[in-house]
Parts: sequence; structure tokens; C-alpha cells
Amino acid sequence: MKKKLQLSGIFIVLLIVFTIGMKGIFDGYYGFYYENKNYDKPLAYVISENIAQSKPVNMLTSYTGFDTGYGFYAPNVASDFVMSFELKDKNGNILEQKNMPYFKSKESRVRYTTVFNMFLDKISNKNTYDRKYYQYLDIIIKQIAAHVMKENPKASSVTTKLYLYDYPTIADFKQGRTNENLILIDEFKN
Amino acid sequence: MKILFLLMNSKIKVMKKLDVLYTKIENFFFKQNNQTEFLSFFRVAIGSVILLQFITVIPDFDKLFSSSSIIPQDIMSVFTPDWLITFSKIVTFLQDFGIEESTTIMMTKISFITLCILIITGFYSRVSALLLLILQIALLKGSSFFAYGADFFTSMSLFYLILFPSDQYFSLRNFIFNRKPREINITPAKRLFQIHISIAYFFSGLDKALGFNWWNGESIWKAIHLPYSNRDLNFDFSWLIEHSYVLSFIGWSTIIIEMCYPFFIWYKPTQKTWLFLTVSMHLGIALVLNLYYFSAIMIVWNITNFYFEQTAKKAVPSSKKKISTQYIPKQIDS
Repeated sequence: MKKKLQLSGIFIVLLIVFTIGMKGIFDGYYGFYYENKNYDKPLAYVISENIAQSKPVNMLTSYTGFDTGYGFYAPNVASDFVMSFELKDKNGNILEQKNMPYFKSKESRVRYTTVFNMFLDKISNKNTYDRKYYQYLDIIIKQIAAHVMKENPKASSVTTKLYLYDYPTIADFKQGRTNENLILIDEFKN
Repeated sequence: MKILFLLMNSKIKVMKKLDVLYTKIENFFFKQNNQTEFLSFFRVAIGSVILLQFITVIPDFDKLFSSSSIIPQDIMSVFTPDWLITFSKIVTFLQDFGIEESTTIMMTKISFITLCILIITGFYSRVSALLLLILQIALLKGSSFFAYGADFFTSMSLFYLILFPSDQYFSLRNFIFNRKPREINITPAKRLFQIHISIAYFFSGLDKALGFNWWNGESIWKAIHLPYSNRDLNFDFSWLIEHSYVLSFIGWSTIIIEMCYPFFIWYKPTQKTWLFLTVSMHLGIALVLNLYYFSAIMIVWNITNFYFEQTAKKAVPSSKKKISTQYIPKQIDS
């Protein structure tokens, strides 16, 4: 009896792992290939979503770390962003230009740059999300900018620019385009 | 009557087959082997990785996790469910009792490090892992914008440390209390862990296989040139343009290593090779993408789950070892 109970527990956990893995696959696939298209979700996708989002499963997975998909850098390596901050004093003189807040460790920088994943939504179809969500993303950028400004006591204003980092593809590189391109996505003045 | 007899007969056959299947499953999940080195390895290695990762962010702790973080906690918690205990909730709760945030932060840092040390040394590692998991989830979910793959795998590792009686062997607990390891069947938890990692790699590979850029090398090219990759060793990859087949090869290899992991890692003749390939892949990720802690955790997971399978196979009791005929002593009479 004890063995059967243990086996049931194991199979439930494995089912959850499998379901979340499958949901990750669907999220990645439809997010990449059907981003701006209407589509009917396959039954397996709907079921995996419902299971993953049900409260007991959600609680279990949140407290065990099982709530992550496994599609790292897939199906496509997502584009990244670069933020630039230009700090000025009260007379409008440029004090400094920097790309991120000051961190003492590399690991903190890795953590900070994960925020940029959210900004991919800024370049997606504007009908994908509610207008408020885009405002929410803007608030995040402004808060980062406010923090950067606090780091320099002389600063009285900051101009923040969000760029999409566009590195030449293999084909572009072969044709002589070897420099990365920074595409301005948004600009804020605090 | 004859039909009834046939039906009964076929039902018995099906039951027998199911019984055989169940026995096989039970054997797979419960057959004990005395291999316990992987437990001590996992406990010490994962505890050390978690401790190191935490120590590296301590100088920037306030910027990432406190109320004065770069992005305010209330903004980050917009999508956090109410039932999740986040670090900001703990801070607010303790403030009601007159405990300042700075004190809570100090206590959190001390607790985190202490729990890691308890895990590493094997002093009530299960309870320590449970407490550390709660603390780690509170930090991770409270500042979810700053969380990445390594954090999820850290949580999962702590979950497995709760499941495993890892302080039964090579532990401070045994040393202090002069205890001997109890007989506990760890195979079920080990099998769960092994199947979990196999599923994870399979889906990781499948997801990549669905992206056409993984087949033509563009994904590898893009990944190694992301603005925050390759910043430590600054490898010059421009030569790869002249040899772009290398990029395609790495892309294909990544897909094959990951997707075929569940098959080749379980198949004994290829187990060692696949382990080597997978660990090499993670070393590459560490060196080029600079995701050191993520890679370290994945390497620990791989070694824990499949390296010691090799040694277990080798460690056959001497009485069962086959010996060459030349070593069989001749009978005195002959």
C-alpha cells in the first residue's frame, strides 16, 4: 500500500512536470509562429494550460520551482535590449551616460538584464495586450531611470532610451554588414 | 459457455500482463541499490552552488530584493498571487511587530547562509532545505523580474533535498550524534529526479527543434552575440562566418544532445558519452553565455543522476565479479 501511494505521488509529480513542459512547448511555438495571427488552440494546449493554472497545481509548482518551462533560447533566441541613461545636472550639462544601474557583482547584472525579457512585449502587436500593460512596462522603465538618477546626487534629469539590439545575421555578416544596430524603441525623460 | 470461457481466459491473460508490467514498474522505482555517494555529492555540490550564488548578490541585495530595489516591490508584485509569501510581505509583517526592514534583511542574509551551511555539512539537511526553499521562493517571487532559469532550478534542487535523506551519509549530523545511516530506500526519489531531468532535456531540445534558426546556425550565432553574452572572456567568433557549418553543427548537436537525452542517458553503453556531451554543453554555456550558476546547477544535476550509475555498475561485490579463467586455480588433484 505504501509503495502504491509513493508511486501515485511520483506519477502525479511527473505528470505535472510533463504538462508544464508541454505547455512551454506550445507557448513557445504559438508565440513565435502565430504571434500576430488568430488561431485555435489545440486541445492538448488548452488542457495543459488549465492544469498548470489550476490553483492546487499552481501552488505546488510555485513552491517547488516546477513552474518553469524548459524551452531555453527556443524556439528562437529572443532579441535583447539595451538601455541607455543620460544624466544631466540642473544646467542641462551631461554628467554621465551609462547602460545600467551600478552593480557590484556580475550575477546581479545577469539578474537585472532578465527584466528586458518583458520589453519584448513592447515590440509585439499592440493589440496583443491591454493598453494598461504597455503603460505598466513604461512605469518599469521610468522606475529604473529614477533609480539610476538617485545614484548620482548631482543629476536633476535623466533621458532614458530603450533600444532593440539587432546583431547582423550570418547572411548579413557575409554581405559585409558587420556592425550591430540599435533600434530606438522608446524614449523617456524624467 | 465456450465464449465465456474464452473471455475469462483472455481476461486472465490481460491481468497477468498487467501484473508483470506493475512488477516491472515497481522494480524500477523501488529496487534498492546501495549506491549512496550521489546523495552526499548532490547535497554538498548544490548547497555550495546556492551559497556562492547568494554570496555574490549580497552586495546588491537591497537593489534587487528590498523596498529600495531598482523596481519597487509593489510594481513587481502586480502579477503575484495573494497566497504567495514574498519577501516584501515578510518585511511588512515583521514591521507590525516593530522589526525594521534592515533587521529583517540582515536576518534573511544570516538565515540563508546558515541554512546553506547546514545543507552542505549535512545537519538536518531536509528541514534546512525546506526552510531555505521557503526563503528562496519568498525572495524569488517577491522580485520575480530579477529571476531567471537558475533560480527555478535552485528551487527544484531544494525540493529534491527535502525528498532525499541526504544527511544520512557523510554528514555532520552523524558525526555529532554518532549515528549510523538508517536503511531507507532512496530509489523512488532518485528515479523521480532522473525522469524529471530527462523530461526537461527532451522538451528543451524539442522546443529548439521547432525553431528553424536552430537548424541553420543562426540561433547559435545570435546567442553568442547577445549584448550581455561573452563579456568575460570576449571570444572573437568572427572567424565562424567563414565556417558557418560549425554554427549549424553546434545547433544540430544541441538539439540532438537534448532531445535524445532520455534515450541515450538511460542506455548503459551510451550513458557515459551522453553525460560527457551534456556536461560539455553546459560548460560551453557557462564560458560563452556567462550563465555560470545555471550551468553549475545543471552539471550537478547530471552528475548526481547519472555519473554514479556508472560507478554503481562497476562496484559489483567481489564475489559476483567474473574473473578470467587464467586466474582460476587449478585443482590440486589434477
